[in-house]
Amino acid sequence: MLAVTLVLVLCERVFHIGIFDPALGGDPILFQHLFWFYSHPAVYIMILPAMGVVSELISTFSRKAIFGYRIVAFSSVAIAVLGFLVWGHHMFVSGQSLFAGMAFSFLSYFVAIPSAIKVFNWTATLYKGSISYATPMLYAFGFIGLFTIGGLTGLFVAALGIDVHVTDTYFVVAHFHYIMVGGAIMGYLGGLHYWWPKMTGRLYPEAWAKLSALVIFLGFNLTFFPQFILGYLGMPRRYHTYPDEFQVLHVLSTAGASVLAVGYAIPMIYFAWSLRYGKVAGANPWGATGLEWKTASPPPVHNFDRIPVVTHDAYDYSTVVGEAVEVG
Amino acid sequence: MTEHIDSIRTYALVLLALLALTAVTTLVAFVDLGEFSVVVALAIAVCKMLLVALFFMHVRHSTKLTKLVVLGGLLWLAILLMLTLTDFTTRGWIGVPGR
Amino acid sequence: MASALQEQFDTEAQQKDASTLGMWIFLITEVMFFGGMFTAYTVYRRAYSDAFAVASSSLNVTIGAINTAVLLVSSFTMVMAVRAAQLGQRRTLVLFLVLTLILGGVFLGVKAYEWNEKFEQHHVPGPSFHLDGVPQQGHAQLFFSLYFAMTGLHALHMVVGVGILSWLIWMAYKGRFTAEYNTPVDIAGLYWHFVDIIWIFLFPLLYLIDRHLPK
Repeated sequence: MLAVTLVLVLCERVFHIGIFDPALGGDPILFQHLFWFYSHPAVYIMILPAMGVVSELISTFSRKAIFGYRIVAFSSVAIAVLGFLVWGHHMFVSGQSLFAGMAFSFLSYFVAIPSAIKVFNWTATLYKGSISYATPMLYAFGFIGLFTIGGLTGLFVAALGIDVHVTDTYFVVAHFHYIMVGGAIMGYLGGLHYWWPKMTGRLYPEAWAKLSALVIFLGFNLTFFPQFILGYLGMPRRYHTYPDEFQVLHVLSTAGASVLAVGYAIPMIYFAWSLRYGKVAGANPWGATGLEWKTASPPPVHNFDRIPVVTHDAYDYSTVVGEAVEVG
Repeated sequence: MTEHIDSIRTYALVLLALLALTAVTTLVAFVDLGEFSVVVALAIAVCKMLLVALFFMHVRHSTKLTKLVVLGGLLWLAILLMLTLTDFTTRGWIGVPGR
Repeated sequence: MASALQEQFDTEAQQKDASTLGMWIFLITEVMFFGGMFTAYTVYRRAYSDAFAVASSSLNVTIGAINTAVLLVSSFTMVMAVRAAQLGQRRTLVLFLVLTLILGGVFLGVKAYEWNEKFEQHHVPGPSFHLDGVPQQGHAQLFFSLYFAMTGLHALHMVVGVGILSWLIWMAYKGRFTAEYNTPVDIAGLYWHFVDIIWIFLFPLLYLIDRHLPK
């Protein structure tokens, strides 16, 4: 889909034929339709794996099965399908028909529902759980909070009235970074820490990991929260300069970016360090259920020496007695 | 899945049907059907597509999953076309805010 | 000779189903690939139906119809090839693959002739474009932009198909396909039929717009 859109633009440029060229009767909005038809679902696809990771992490570190597993699974499918029906919300002010704008706005509100269901279910999982604050869990908490903010601000921009004002401003930038960094990257880092012992057979240093999780959280918010304000006050995207009264907010954001960079650098260092000097990990350092924890760390090529016998549900923590959580 | 080997006769009949439909669509194009010309042309094309898919591509012998995937592909194309056309067909319906 | 049951599969049938599904997943991405162009076509035909009708009438219907028939027959020979492979008939398999290849080549040759005609008639979008009978040259240029883009993309897929067929012919000639193992022939067939289906839609949409109107 994206490929054909780009091919058409290529033909326009190279062969001087006009498919989106208004001078020939072409419509640039058609380009936008074709472009966003792919690009919007793409971002929903980007967040779904992170959500899957969060489900694993919440379950393991509250030692409880996910609340409403089936609904959570169904919501993933719903997000994937509904995500294909909302692309026009990137085009509210492009000149597309107002009727289409209303349709896309309505559908965009609809697609927020399964995401919200997941957040509620994760929270419900925590209730009466036995919560441990290992690093992966810290990232899962970060995900839930920041993804919620990103999602709610997504609802703001999905409203036609508000979007007319904040479109193409830093408000939108902040919104999607809350989802992509606050959401997807946190999920990624949480998963990385969670499965690092399994993949490499080594434990990372827990104290440093907790520290960098905190630095990332603070750096991220310092970077992107000011951008909500900037956007609301009217700072457009993709401008190289700005009026003086916005300077403080810009500086805060830049400072936050530096902090965030430090936060990313620390894990790179200690992960590399752990490969050589990290404590050797056992098969199941987290005491988690799930088949991957029933084989060695790292697993042998054929995964299991003996075919494991499954005696309980995937997330059944009632009978599992895990190893004490060994952290470096 | 067990190999369903269709007969030569089946394939030949499908080919004849396809060629006949091609002739029909070509000739019908020269008849004035007004708005329906497009509908007829597309309907015939869809029939030809179904013949090729079900018989030549063996979809009628395929697993449920394959059939679902095929259906899904067509559905997604329909989503693209329908929603994009929603924009272009309703351009004049409601005014622009503020005007 | 490939026994070819890969380690992760339990049976040959399961493996074949997986390969078939894989090809179909690829084909539905191709549906979306062409679908973008069909969407552009739909939008512009609705907007500029008159210009499109005039532009379409400058195409040669007879040649288009013949080419359509050529591709349909090539789909027939392709499925006959698959059948021969399923029955373990090596010589018949090679024969039908070669026929399919030839018919594909015929289609491409006719296409090249048509394109050449378009070049000579100045129907190629660009500075030297001119179509008689259309007040808005731009709209007609859009038709031809889409014509060349869509038939060009289709022809590119045909060329790839011809390449795949050549490889298949070579493998079949060497006896690599049997009644037990003929998956490559099968899924190449799926690809070939798909390209045929695209043309099944391209023909009426490009060649048969409002032909009943007096020229």
